[in-house]
Amino acid sequence: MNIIVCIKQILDPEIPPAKFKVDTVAKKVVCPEGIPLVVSPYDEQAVEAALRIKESRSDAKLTALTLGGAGAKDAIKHVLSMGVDEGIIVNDDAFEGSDAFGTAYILSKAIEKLGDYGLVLCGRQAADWDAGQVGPVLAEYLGIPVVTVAKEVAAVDGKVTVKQVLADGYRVLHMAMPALVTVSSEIGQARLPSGKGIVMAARKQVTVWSSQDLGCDPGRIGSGAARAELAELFVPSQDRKSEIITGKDVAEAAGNLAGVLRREGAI
Amino acid sequence: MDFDLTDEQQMFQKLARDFADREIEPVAEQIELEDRIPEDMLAKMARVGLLGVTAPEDYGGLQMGFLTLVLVLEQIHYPCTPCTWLLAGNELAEVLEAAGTREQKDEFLPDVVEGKSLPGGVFTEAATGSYEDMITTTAKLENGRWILNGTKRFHTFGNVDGPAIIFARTGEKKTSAIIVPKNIEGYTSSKPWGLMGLRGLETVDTFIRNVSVPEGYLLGEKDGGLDILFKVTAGGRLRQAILSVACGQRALDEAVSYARERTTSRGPISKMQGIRWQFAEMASRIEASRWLTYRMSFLREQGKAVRSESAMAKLFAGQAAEWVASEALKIHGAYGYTTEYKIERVHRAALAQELIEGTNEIQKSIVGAAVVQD
Repeated sequence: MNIIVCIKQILDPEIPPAKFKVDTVAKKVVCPEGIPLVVSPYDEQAVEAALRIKESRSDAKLTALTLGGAGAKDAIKHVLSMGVDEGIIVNDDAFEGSDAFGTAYILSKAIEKLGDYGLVLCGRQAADWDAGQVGPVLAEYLGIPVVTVAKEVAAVDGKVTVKQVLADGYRVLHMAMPALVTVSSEIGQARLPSGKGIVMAARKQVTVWSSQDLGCDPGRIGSGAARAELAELFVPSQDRKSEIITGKDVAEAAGNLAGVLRREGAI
Repeated sequence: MDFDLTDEQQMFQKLARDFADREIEPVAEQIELEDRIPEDMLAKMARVGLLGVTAPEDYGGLQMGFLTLVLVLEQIHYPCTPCTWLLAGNELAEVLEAAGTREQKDEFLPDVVEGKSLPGGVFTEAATGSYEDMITTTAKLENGRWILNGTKRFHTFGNVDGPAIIFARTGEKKTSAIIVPKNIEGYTSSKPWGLMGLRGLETVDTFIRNVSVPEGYLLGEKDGGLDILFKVTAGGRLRQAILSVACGQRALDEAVSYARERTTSRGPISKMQGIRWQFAEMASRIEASRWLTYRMSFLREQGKAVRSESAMAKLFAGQAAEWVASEALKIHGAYGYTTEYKIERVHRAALAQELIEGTNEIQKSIVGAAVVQD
């Protein structure tokens, strides 16, 4: 069974806040020099879910798929060193500026080109923009069922069983394959790569496909096809001020506090 | 001149850093308090391949170069714990590659790489220090077996099962290196020495009484122990040098973190020029130590002897780390002297590298002789 895991490389969420900068004119995040991109942690957990399935059945083959430029190869090498079998990068200048719909469309074309598959896994959301749209939209384009926010995924007897995280627990859902699942952090920490994995990853060739290779419709990719418009990008200011709320008794102080919170837009 | 690390080297560096963050740092204080390393640490290291970085692929290793090992050691030692010494399998792999037979590799390397045994090696005796002439442990060949007798000092993990390389006298002012499986008949250990820092590092005296091993356990040539020792110690010095770099970096990071939080009426002390100048001095010495060690490790990987060069790196990096850790502690003020802050543990760990694998004075003698060329 072929399992495809979609991954994205992002700015390391653990960088110090002082290093995080945005270009408000270009409306882009500025990558700080010398700090490499990392695989989005939710996507690493999707890889972990795929590796656990692979350990439970001998016929599983894992393919990592990513859309990106220069940093994409590092992302693919990273998951190859974790135990993924094959890596594919889709990269083309025409993809630049694609929104979640464009990205999902490009990934769907790559998955169709890959052919036979039983399961597609994505992170529940990318840990940079946190939109959580690509997974479900990708399932829509592929015409397959989807379950989001999974804490456990199993693929047995031609169906996928998913424990989906709910606000107060989880529920168990079954789907026929092929299907798509987005994986949440509740699945647990992704494993570290292994030294052997690193050596093997260095020897593996990574396939790169262009828009032409995939037969993408130019009208559905790139910034021109984006359905969402980014109005403004800025780092919110974190001004701190203190104000001591008083009143002649507790009830009046509480009322005054409520008034201040309402005035400041907090409630 | 290309100073870039390869993609693979960077991936190993990241793997080691992630392993240290995830598996070692959370238990660093526990190791210190309990004076022992968690039992599963060796198996965890084996699982990600850290025990066979330099071992040949035929024996389950990764066959990476010495510089890669040094990069791994730097990251693994960042928490400043004795767990770093569990990577001794890499040292054994190097020695066996340089002087071992096919049979010796077949017998000992796979278990070491898989974390099923922990190798050791000891030259030191109560009175020898770094002098070969004063070794008193003997090895005599009788009926096709080596019979060893003597007492060794400061044998790291000498009490844990695995192959140990024992340096013993086999002739007039001549020594040989012989592999002795630890804890076989006649081989016993003292209780571990209490250590000032790096608590959990089990350093014992080894008592060898009529220990008998096959003739084929001789490493290299008979009476060729010194040649092997020189090969071992050049790598050992560079290993200690990079541990100094790790301690220095950790001490600086702790001091910067503290200085950012510690405020006076004029704001955090990290804004003060006096403190910043200290940080500049500290960072400069660490960076110089790091690249001196990388450079010498690269040369060793290329097959160069680096005897005096490795001594130079160990001397410089050890002194730098001791100074940086001391200054970092002072930046913490009185808090630095408490066990509430990590800097005191880091400071104690940093002191070790100026003593292990030869004192500063020994390193100076080696470097001085190379400079004068007499």
